[in-house]
Amino acid sequence: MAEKPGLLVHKTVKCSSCGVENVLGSDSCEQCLHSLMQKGLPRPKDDDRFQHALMTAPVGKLLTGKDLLVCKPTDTVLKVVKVLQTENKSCVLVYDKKHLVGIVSLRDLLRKIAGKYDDLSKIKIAIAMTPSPEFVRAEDPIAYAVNKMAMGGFRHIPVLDQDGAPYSIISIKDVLGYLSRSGKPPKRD
Amino acid sequence: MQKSVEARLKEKKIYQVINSKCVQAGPDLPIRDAITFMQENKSGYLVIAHRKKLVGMFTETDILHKVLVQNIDWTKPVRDFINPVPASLMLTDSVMNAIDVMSQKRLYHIPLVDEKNQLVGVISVRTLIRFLAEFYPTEVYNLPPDPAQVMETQEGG
Repeated sequence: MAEKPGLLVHKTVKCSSCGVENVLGSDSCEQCLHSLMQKGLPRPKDDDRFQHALMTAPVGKLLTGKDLLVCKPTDTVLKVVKVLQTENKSCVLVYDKKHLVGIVSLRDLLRKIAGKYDDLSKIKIAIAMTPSPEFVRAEDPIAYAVNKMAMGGFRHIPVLDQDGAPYSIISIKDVLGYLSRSGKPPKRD
Repeated sequence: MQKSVEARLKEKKIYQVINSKCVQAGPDLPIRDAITFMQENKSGYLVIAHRKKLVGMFTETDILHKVLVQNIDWTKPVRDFINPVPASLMLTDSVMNAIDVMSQKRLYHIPLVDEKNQLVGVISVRTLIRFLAEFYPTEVYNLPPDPAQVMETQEGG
């Protein structure tokens, strides 16, 4: 026997914007008024591989899981530079007592360090870092990370898990590499 | 009907997206001045050209490996620190080309040349990412900082 509409109140639908549980079939979210009539986020057309890659794939797709450097704010610039040189990396996260406090990329080294100090073993990395950087989570869409990069003008974004522990760093090159691959006809994700 | 993003990226030419900024210098500039010049221009690259002919690129990676920590002579010309140009593109190449080259060669900047092989500009990864960001609908732009966040009161309430 079909249920009457009035009996469906215990069934709810989660608002994708604010997370509030709404009565199934509501036109918009009780709390934030976002439309519930769309199915999830705006979807790309099926034949558009490229846009699929951007809008539906999570940041987690880009993670390799091996390239992550973390230092303390009290480490010297010399130490960090040496590590970057041997590892051939371009970015390091700065953590203080399990909290992300900054990020140091080659750009920071160029702008704040290069040619300005004689003895790098006396300078703390805290001087060079960009404090409180933007970050993303592994389940965020790639588009979200791209937007942050575009708005802030950075080329690296740390990926953190729910507790704020570092997962990885994604770089703009990872994004371009992923797009470049997903734009190729034979392979489908 | 709206074209796919892929088709639009292939159609869009580089000259339609770049800005005119191109930080360049001659090969004989002393390394100290080269770095100051980059710092002043807030740029992560320096195109080294001699009479509009491309000589090489001086980038942040070169600074990391060849300048920092090493005891270098700051008056040496920048030409001793540069890399030969790994790739260059034409203004009429497509944006998709630029994305491919950048990701394959792992570059942040690609110098642009004309038919006579003369330097006309540079395309940077930032330009590309800004351009890409324009393709997303505002809903994605406007995701809250924490998508799982629950508002405690109604907005404005």
